[in-house]
Amino acid sequence: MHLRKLIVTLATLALLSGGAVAGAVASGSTPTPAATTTCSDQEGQQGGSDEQEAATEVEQAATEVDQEAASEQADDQAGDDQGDNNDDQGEDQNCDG
Amino acid sequence: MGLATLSCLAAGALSLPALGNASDATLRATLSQWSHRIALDAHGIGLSAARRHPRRMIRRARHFRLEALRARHALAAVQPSSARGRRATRLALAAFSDYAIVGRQWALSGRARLRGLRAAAVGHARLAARYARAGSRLLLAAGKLLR
Repeated sequence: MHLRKLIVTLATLALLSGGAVAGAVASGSTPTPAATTTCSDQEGQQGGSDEQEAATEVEQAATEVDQEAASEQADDQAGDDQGDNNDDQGEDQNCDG
Repeated sequence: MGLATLSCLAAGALSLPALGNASDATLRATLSQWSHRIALDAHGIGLSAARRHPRRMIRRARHFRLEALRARHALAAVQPSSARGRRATRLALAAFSDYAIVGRQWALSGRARLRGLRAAAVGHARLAARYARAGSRLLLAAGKLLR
């Protein structure tokens, strides 16, 4: 009888520790960025900074579009006809965009 | 035998909250990823506007709208398990809906600008700015809930 109780107790402990390990694995299974260091990785390491970054960029862009719409200055037609990367020249080299 | 059954139930119950956290962690990662993409797109639109390149701005604004809709789709596919996660999802979906409207209004503003309709261009730009502020508030609130 004592042996049976011992077996049941051991089985209980094994199951509980198994559950705990499964829990730890599940909570640690958050997709993490790749090991290579890029601008987006550095930003992703700061909790919630991506949402803040998006909010800031969208509101800044809204201000720029608003100012451009109200501006009486003529459009830069020559620049507008060039390739899509023209606006980004000198912007992608660093992370402070 | 009753003790063994109880043990199984206890082990299962222990692992459930952790699995729930995993779903919310997936939601947080998805929100982070799409926020970053939207930020890059918005940055490009700001540059095009500042450099008075309305055609390019229109193209980017359309892309921005599509990205906002894709973000909504991706977030809707994640099943949060906690109440905070569910609330965060609702807020994030509303945020990206607002951003989709922002993209459309930016494109309309650029088109009006190209046609020389300055008042219309300003009107669309102001509407975009209003939705941008609302969307950003919702996005930040969603992110805060998941921290």
